[in-house]
Amino acid sequence: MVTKKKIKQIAIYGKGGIGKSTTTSNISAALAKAGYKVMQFGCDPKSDSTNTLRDGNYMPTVLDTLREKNTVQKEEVIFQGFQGVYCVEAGGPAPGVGCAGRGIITAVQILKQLKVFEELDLDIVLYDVLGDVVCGGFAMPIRDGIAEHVFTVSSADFMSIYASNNLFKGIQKFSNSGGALLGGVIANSINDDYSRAIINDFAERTGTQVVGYVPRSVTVTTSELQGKTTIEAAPDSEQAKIYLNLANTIVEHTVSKVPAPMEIKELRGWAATWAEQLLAREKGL
Amino acid sequence: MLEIDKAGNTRQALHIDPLRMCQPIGAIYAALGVQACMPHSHGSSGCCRYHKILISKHFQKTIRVTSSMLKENAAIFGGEENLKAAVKTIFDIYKPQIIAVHSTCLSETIGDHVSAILSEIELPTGKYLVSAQTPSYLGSHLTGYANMVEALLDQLAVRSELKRKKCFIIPGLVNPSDIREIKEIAASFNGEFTVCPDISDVFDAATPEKQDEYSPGGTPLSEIIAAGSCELVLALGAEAAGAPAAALSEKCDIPFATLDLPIGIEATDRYIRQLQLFFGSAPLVELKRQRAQLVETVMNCHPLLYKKRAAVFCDPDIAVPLCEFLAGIGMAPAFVFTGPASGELDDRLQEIFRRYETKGVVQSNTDLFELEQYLNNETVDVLIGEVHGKHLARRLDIPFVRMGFPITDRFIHPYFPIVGYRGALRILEMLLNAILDRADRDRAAEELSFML
Repeated sequence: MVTKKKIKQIAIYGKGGIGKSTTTSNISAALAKAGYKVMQFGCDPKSDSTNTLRDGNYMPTVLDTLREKNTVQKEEVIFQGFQGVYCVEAGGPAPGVGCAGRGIITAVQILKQLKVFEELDLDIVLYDVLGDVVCGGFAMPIRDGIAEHVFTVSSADFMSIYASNNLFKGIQKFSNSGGALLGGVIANSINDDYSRAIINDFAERTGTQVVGYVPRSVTVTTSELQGKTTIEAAPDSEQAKIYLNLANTIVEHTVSKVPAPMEIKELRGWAATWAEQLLAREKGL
Repeated sequence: MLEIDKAGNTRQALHIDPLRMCQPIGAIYAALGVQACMPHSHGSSGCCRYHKILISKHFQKTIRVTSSMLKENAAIFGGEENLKAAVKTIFDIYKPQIIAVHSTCLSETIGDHVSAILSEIELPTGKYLVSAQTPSYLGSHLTGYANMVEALLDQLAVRSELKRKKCFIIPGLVNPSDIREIKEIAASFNGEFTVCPDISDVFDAATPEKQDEYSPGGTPLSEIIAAGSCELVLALGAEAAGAPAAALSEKCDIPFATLDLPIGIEATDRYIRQLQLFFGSAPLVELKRQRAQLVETVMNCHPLLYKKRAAVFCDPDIAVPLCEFLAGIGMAPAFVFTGPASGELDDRLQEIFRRYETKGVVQSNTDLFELEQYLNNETVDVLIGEVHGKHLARRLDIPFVRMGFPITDRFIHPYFPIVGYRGALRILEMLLNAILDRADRDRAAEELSFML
């Protein structure tokens, strides 16, 4: 008897511009290199999540195809990139019109209906989801038992932490109805001790963990300028090792939890104490 | 006494037979009161179909409303393409002079900027486009009516420094026969006036045969454009007509007055007095004759109606003057239930109750489920209201007089007014018939009488 393989579905959220797509693409690349069958699903109307897996090229999105042809075939929207990573972009409306949230819901549903995950015999699906949980649509990957684990990419900037805290609220809300649970925080652009201390403290306060620290590195920038992930462009670099370790942690991660997000007042108070500490530290130097 | 589950406070999520309908119903109603106007629903096809059917069934007559037919794609990418294509097709095929676009829940929620989209369309000469925002999660069909009338006036009327002795009358949501009554009274002063929207000769005219033909009625566009030269704006009904009157007043610098719909003796008196004040001439003898006849009838049938308790459920614009009339002839409007209404509704009704030394329960933004619970505790002699009262009438075995909108299970009623002195006479007749029929039904055969 053949037991059905359990596909590991992971959603990665975070504030816009914080490095979600960079991190996700490098995790995908690292996992594919390690022999896993990986799909990366970009849930962002900008449709550039998987660019660095495909030499910087854009590709037709699920929603554009739906718009043009009214139906979507697998081969029209699934393209393979570096080391055979399957890339999908949800796509969406131009800025300022339509409803991107509704787009995410439709795109995820279409992929589900096409039964591609089973057919492609995938090991891992990574959803790279735009920013904050701005409306119900963006919560789609963590609802209805689609993704199982959520990771948030955050720097030590307070705005980024606010966004993560909001995401935690979303996860908490859906946790009773079969939604995804929180795997942890991927700390990005962490180059000094106090950034690390801030993000650690936030994780502790909200009942979660930091699963990896990624420093800001020029290697990433040069790789991306070539339209490639760091794993592909600089496989032997320090940064690539960091991504490999992170990918390893994520693929081996099994137990996620319901986070304990801070209330807005509590969060402001928490931020204020850190602001005081940083000021004191600056004066002391 | 049973405890009552109130719609407004404790029962937010569930309304059963609510006394409110979607905003676009009012918007379509208003748009059809403009000559050669095509109402257009910027939404998915179901919205338009429901709104159209409800209006059609009230008048037992076909009406035309176009739709942007928004589907999944439009919900995601916005409805701009659909709207632009629709406008072109409508002008090509149906050849209206104006298209009045209203939004729907879907297009409002995805944030379609309808007026900006329309402004990019190159219009054929002599054609017009207006748009109103009408999401149904706010207000009621009266809000939608007000929003569309306001849009028409705001986007079409031209400010004019040259004024003329002309009255611009904005009626609330009533039947074509009511509009005829309003116009006939105004015409008896031999002065100039415009009624907008004017659904007479639309909902009570023959349906046009060809697809590019329109009913003879409706306010001519030229009259709407020239609204700025009127010397007075008169709103009949605060909920449906108050806001557009205020907007026109502000835009074109014209004084405005808000009156009740002229239902019953006093409200009709006030309407006539306002016109008399404006035109400075005396009304025709015919109006005096009608009034005298009405007053005499009220006195004659007084013993049959005195202290009879009524439950009224209809639009707030009808409820206020109707209850004033009922209280004035000695009846007790014991329950007054309406859809969403401004804060004034309760004050107005309490003032009427004080004036006529009666008492009543007033609830706005409510449903018939709540009314039924009140009636289970304390019954009434007659139900007055829209079609959904049918179930109450059967379950509680109370005579039912249909009044207001919608009445989708009867014929001919839109051809007779409830407005003006003649309308009041008709209300009296309907009430008396219902009450007397019921008394006869309850009487033993040997006690039936052929005399009053």
